[in-house]
Amino acid sequence: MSKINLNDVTFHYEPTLPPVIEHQNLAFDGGTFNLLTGPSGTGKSTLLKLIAGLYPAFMGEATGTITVNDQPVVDLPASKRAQLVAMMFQNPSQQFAMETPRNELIFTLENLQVPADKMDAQVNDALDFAGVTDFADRKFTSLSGGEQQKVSLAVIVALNAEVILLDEPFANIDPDARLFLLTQLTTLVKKYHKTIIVADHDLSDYEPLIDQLYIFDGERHQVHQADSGEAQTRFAAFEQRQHQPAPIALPAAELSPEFTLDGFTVGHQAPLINDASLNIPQGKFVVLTGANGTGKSTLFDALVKLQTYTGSLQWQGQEISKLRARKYAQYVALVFQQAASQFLTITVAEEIALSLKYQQTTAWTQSRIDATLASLDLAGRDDQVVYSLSEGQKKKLQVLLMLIMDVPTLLLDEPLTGLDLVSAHTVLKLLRHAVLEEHHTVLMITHQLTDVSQYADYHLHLSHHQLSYEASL
Amino acid sequence: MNPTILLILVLFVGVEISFTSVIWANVIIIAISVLIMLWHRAPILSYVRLLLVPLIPAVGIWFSIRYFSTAQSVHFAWVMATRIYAYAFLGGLFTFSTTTEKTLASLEQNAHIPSTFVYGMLGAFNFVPKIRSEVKIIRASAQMRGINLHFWSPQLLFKAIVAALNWSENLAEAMTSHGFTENAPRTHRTVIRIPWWNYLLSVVSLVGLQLLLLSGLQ
Repeated sequence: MSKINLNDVTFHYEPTLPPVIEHQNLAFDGGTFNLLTGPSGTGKSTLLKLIAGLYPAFMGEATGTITVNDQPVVDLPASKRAQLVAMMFQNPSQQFAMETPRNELIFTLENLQVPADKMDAQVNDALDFAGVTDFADRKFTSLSGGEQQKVSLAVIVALNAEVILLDEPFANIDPDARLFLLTQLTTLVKKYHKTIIVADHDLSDYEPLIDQLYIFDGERHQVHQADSGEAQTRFAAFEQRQHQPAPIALPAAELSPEFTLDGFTVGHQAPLINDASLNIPQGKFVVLTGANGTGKSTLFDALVKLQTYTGSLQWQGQEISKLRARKYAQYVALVFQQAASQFLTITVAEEIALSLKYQQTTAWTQSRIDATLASLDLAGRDDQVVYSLSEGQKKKLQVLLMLIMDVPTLLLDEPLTGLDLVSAHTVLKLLRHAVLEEHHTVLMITHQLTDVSQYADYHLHLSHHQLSYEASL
Repeated sequence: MNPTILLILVLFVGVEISFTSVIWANVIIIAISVLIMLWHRAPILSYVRLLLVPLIPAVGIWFSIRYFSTAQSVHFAWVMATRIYAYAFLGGLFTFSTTTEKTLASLEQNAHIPSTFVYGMLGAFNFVPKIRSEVKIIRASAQMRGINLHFWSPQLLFKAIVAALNWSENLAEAMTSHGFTENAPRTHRTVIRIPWWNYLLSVVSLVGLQLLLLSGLQ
């Protein structure tokens, strides 16, 4: 008998909306490493949350049954269910209830009614396995996304659940942290016979690790298990699109600068960027890369006056700390990492209307917007609540909203997160167009580098507290 | 002292002085509170705050009773003014004797308040810095979309509420997936006990207060 069984499962968020999953029958074997892939926004998260018993308890309506070890998950109390099925979420910052990793682990073990004298040993084992002992007592707010996902792994280890579900767990993570987590997950399968299902649209590094590949077909609202032939084709296709660094130009010295850093230092407790001096050119598409937690977002925060700094940081020759926020926001705008931060109203149509109302030029007309919505696969969602869009859809809408504003300089913090390759190309094309045709300056943080070099002008890299231009991307 | 016992004691004293009119009792309560705050090394600023914040109501009530009440009693004017300060310093005493986490943990274990309430409160307290930075982000993001939000703007409030609702849902999902069931039995890594001297000290304090109040009546 399989570990996890789905029996004729259908799920709707709202009875009036089309189902996300329809008449699904599926089985996952125990002690296997399973990968679930498919375009963003199809319902991979939904399927995992159903198996974890979070849906329909928190949202939506479901029919059919889902069993783990032959027990229907919906009938189990949370403490029993958590020991059977554990989940790592897409958004690392929102999966903890306590202030520090150690307290979160203690909270978890208390819920499982672990005796107090056994608790410390289990906490330390879990911290050790996930490599988070060093920051066990730091606050979550001071941890990077990669560090938070490692803590999440520690909680899963402490729960000792038989089934581990991971929902795009590496979306905000640098390659080192990703490799570490994948290695530890493999250990959990091989050594401890855990059953793992990872939802990910990025297939790199998985082929030698996984036992089965599952593919979510968004049109049919169903998942099917890929046979070995189909799996090979999928991996080969992904491999072809794999990122091979391509040469890219270095900025010439005579370019007029949009931003000038001089002895610029920024950080929270310790400096993240230390004594950096360089120019970021005007009217170009610059890509900013660097491992997770190195300070890319903090640099952006400083560029839009959300973060204090020392040294000099100038925008077109004026010190940014001395500029008036309201006026400056008309020239330099940020596309936030959390898409929801950008939304001010409720529905997709209202958001677009708001951007149209306050746009600085008339470059974006209704027909151009409609065409772009269609190319971003967002057409026909006018009345949908923005917060109910998938993470990928939120990102695409967010980028469009800020493009409509037509601000001369746009900073984008990971706009490609959670996007499938087709959507990523569309977004990059839009940005390229803004630079070439509308002479805007674009500075973009991204971890997803596939094909980005076709669109970007320069590559700025952050490592060892320093910024420098690279000749490849 | 155990936070639950201390909370009950402070509340009891607070209620009792509401029904009595002994100036000395109020003054001694203030003095004891200051001593305990000194013991806990409360920062100077907290004394200043405790003196300034009740100043307007205390002075106001002193003048209204002294000059505008039917009896115009000097004694009663002082009773009311010192009572307001006694309340404020009792609050100070409690605040500096314990922390939010300790109080909530003690309420869960000693007072058997439902764990849903306790962890809901803890979640809410952990939200405060998040909400502050979120408001900053909302205002910056609105400016970038051409809108200037003031702190009284309904849109700012709406966004803050949306963010809070979103967080509360995530928090609930996170707690559930980490094994938390509403009001189910849990174990505790740190078991909070009530030492015997807590009861003794409470009884002594209350007896002392009664004697003080009785002596004031004569």
